[in-house]
Amino acid sequence: MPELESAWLILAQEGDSEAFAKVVEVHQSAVYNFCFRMLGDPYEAEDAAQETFIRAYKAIKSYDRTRSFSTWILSIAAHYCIDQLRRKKIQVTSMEDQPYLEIRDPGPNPESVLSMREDQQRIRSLLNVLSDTDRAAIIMFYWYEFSYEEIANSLGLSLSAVKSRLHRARARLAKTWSERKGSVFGLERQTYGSPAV
Amino acid sequence: MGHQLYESWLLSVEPLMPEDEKMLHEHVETCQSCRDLFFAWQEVENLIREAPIAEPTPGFADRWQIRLENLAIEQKLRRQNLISWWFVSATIGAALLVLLVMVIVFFATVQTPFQVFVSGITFFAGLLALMSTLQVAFIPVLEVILTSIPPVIWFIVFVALGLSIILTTYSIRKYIFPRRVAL
Repeated sequence: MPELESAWLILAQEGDSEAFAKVVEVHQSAVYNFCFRMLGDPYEAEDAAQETFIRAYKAIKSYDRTRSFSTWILSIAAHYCIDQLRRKKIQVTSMEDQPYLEIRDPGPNPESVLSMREDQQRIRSLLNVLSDTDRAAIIMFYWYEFSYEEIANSLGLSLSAVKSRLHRARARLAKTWSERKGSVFGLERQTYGSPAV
Repeated sequence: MGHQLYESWLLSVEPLMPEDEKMLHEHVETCQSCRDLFFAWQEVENLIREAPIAEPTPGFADRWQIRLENLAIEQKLRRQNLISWWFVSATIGAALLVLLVMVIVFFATVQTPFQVFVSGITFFAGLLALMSTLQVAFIPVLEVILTSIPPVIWFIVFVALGLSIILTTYSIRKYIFPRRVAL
């Protein structure tokens, strides 16, 4: 963790909200991306990310500075998103209903942006087939490169449960991809007229 | 050996032993379903690994600070409401307790409804007699006071009294009902 961030965290633990706002700026993308992958909706992701930081701010005194802050904050985000998903069933909405997603360095080519949007929809559609906890484990493993131990600590699972969930999730994703490749994804490619993946 | 082991190897992120890898390679060449699974997972993994980081719209940290401030205001209002309700409840509770004590004391002194009636009449008669005595005693004094003090002083006294009543009412109202803050 950079020294500056450590200093901000110390100040935040003493009740300095300005210092915590600096921490928010550093981790906003990571938390927002996690919430977006979990919930699949930009507005809900924004709300969940905001709420995650509020909860973190309230519980900042209990944060152990010897541990990684990003692991801690993503653990809060994971629990919040899982709670939200359990409260209501998230329905897969069509791409037309979704506002454009802010993408880092989208590239100068409009076709590449369109292709990215299609990929986003495919990912969202794929992640939706997983259970809430499996989805969180996959996101932590592939987007944040968390170790099995970090995932286990963040989600409150045993190490063997994490391995088993990740394996099951990979199998589910691969099978769903095979099943949908010729139907849903194929139709999307035809609709947008982009080349096959 | 069944598909389950090969599937497990295909989806594993741990490196395989050379002999296991060879067995898997031979199996995938002959088994269509395992080959499909292998390619499907490769495509999914590539898709996930190439996925960009979704960014929030600009001003996220500012929006967070505003949300935190609003939350603090909401909590303050909730606390004030709680204190107000506690104050009102305590006052009502104390009044009820006094009433209960009075009722108990009153009924402890009488035994029949007739005695209650007689006690009530006696109480009101006593009250009227007291008022009459006070009237007789104080009217001459009041007459002296009213005639000796100039009307300007009376005017000032009544205005001051009226203002103090308004101020007291406003203070009580402000204490019991917290000010509404637009969120």
